[in-house]
Amino acid sequence: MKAKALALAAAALIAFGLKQHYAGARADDLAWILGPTATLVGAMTDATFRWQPQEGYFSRERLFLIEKSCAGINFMLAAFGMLVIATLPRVGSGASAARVVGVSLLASYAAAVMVNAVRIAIAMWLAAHPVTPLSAADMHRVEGIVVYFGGLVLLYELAQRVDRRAARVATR
Amino acid sequence: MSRAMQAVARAFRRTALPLASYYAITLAVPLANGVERSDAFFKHAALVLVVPVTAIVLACAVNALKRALRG
Repeated sequence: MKAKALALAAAALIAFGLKQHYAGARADDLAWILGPTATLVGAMTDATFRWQPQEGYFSRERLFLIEKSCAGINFMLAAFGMLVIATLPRVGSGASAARVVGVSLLASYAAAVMVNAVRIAIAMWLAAHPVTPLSAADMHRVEGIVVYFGGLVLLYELAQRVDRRAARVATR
Repeated sequence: MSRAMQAVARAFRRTALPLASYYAITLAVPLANGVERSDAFFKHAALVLVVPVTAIVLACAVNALKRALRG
């Protein structure tokens, strides 16, 4: 019980710290997440993104800027909280609490980069192929909601599978 | 309860945690931080509330259709 509370408190502190960092950050401060995202979007779309100081990653040929609001920090926070809660039953000691929080943080970072890259790649395609009666802004919003929520569901399913497999291995 | 309704209820139970996490970060946190309750925010909130629920129901419908076509 104490270890679970410790894990939750550590997760809340990390989430709060990340949110504070994001609130005051400029694009330069978010290079740790914008950089890998821009690389992945470039690989998916064949676009070349170049770093623009204080702005983000810009693709001249697509006229598309990956900037602070595209960083996917909110997705990362949602994924982190979800993973910590989903794996909380595995916490039984201080060490397992640290493991759950650490692995959840790394997994939420990796998921944020991947899911956000998919979201941006689809947004770039939609910007070039306007196909719906919705306005471009509404379409962008709906696409973001579908991709982020879908990403959270997939991540949760993956975590459940890994957790079940780990439990099977542990009982052998 | 019909089989379709049971499938939808199961899907909502299965996605409850991702849905709660998503709503928390997109709605509860901004509201707790005192976001301005403007028309733009209410429009955003309506989309955030409706789109995931619609996606779950649609996914169930596609799944049921696939099963029916398989016989």
